[in-house]
Amino acid sequence: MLKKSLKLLKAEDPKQYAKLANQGLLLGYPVSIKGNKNRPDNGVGYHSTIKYFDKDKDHPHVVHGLARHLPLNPPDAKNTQIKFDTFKDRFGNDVNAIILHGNSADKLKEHNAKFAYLGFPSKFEWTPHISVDKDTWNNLKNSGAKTAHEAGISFGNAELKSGLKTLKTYHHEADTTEPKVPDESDFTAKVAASKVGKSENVHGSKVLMKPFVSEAQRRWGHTTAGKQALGGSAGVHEWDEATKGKKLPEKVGKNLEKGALKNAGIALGMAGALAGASPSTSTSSSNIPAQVQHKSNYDHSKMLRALASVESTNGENVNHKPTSSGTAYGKWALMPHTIQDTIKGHKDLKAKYGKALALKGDQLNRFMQDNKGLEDIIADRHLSHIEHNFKNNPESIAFAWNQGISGTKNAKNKGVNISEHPYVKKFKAAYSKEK
Amino acid sequence: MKIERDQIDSVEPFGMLDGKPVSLTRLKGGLNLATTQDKNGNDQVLGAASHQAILCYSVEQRYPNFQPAMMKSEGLKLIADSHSHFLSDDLRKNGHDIYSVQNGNEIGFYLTKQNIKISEINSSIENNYLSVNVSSVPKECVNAISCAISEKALSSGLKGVRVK
Repeated sequence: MLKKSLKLLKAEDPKQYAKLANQGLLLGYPVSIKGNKNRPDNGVGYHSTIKYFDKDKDHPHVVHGLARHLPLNPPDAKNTQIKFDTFKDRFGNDVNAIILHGNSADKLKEHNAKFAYLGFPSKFEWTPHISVDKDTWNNLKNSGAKTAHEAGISFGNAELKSGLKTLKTYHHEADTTEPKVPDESDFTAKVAASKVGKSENVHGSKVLMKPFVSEAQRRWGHTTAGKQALGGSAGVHEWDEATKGKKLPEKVGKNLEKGALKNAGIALGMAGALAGASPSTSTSSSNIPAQVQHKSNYDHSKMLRALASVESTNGENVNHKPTSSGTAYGKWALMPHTIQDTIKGHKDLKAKYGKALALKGDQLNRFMQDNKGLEDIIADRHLSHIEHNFKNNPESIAFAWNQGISGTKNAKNKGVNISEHPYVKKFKAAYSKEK
Repeated sequence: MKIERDQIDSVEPFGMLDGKPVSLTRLKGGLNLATTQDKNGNDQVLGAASHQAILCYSVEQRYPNFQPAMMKSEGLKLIADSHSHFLSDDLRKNGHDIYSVQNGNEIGFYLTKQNIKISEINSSIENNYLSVNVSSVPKECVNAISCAISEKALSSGLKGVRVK
């Protein structure tokens, strides 16, 4: 089916498309048009992309880390207006597109904007659409359909796909379970493990030459999920070979080398401690190895709530004291430079709120007051940015919220005991209270 | 707010909010209202402004789900923007606001109090500069209006401001 598509899809360069179809990483909604789920010209599934990622630099876990917090409800076909247009894709090929408008399309656009720092650089404004073959495009256009529903279009639950493989399906509620691929931090967390090159294909035929960290992880590697994640039986064999002759601890968190503890154990330990449980109790009920599991203990929304609790008692005390860097704003005590850097760093925010970049002092605070919801967006984006730097380690993230990303990296390099920092202590207490 | 029928100049479609139509009700006194019906079928005012474009802007700000109608009406071709952050806290508490409304090369700055226009400054883009026709502005608002004009010139990518 895919071979067929190579000849016809998106114009001139079938090899280019084959690469996209086979290796691309995509978050989007599967679409059916009048009951047909695949394009008649090439068999590729109809879909409405939320974001197309650069698989060489965007790890599925990073994408999922953000996607799982988004309300990825499928677009409402009845309330989605459609228009017909053609545009050039980033390779200059002509694409027949059904352009989506309305609330759901706006949501799609919002979701796309959340991933602005990922994917390929783009010079054009992204528009929600479904690309279709020319015949379908002509038929639908001639039918006079004004809404997706009238055109017989329906949307499925959002999916994170790597090539043809669905890594994750997102339902109406935010999802907190992990996609079944090795965690990005696994690559750095292994004891005596060599670094994985960027070009190494996690999902493809090339297996991961990594030793297991613990007996629990080794057992998990032999389960169905483990085999799937590690590239099949051959992959598991490679892992077994890499671990051969090594005496492994039953669980990570015990007898780990200092470096490994820094990378992985802290995240696990903190997640457990902050959730009100010890690391050992948090993993004891499962065969899944600790590093694979630690991210599931981390909750972006919970983190935001805990930070708001520490900074302003959830918005009750927002009269922040002036500092040499300005006066913080709102329930997350966002500093002026944080607000402006976050706006500057996101195309969508810069387009909408760019004038905030020239404001200072009270003017910026009033601007924030006048743009209700902007505070939430900035806190959310800023937290995602910190998470990206500290791999969902609540302790480091809390420290970075207070001291900045560079400040945290410097503190870590100098061997500062972050857990004993008063802000982190306060945060831990708040985080453990959050549900 | 109770409005008698004889106070209404016209009612026209204004957009959609959560699947419900929103109407633009123009009053004879010059005030524009955005109205919709609540669950019980009662009229509900979503916002009020002296200028249709400002009304559209403020309703969009307050109700992010609001979808302005794609109509030929003049107001929705205009670009409205708020500059109220330049006003002092006292003036803001008294209900003052500053808006700019751009129609092509013409940009009007409106100082309003409780949604009623109290002052207007007209300007136009000429040779990459914003040329401003100076007119009377309440003394306490001069600084804020000046900042608003500068901000608009800056955000429009203009070289600067010239006073006519």
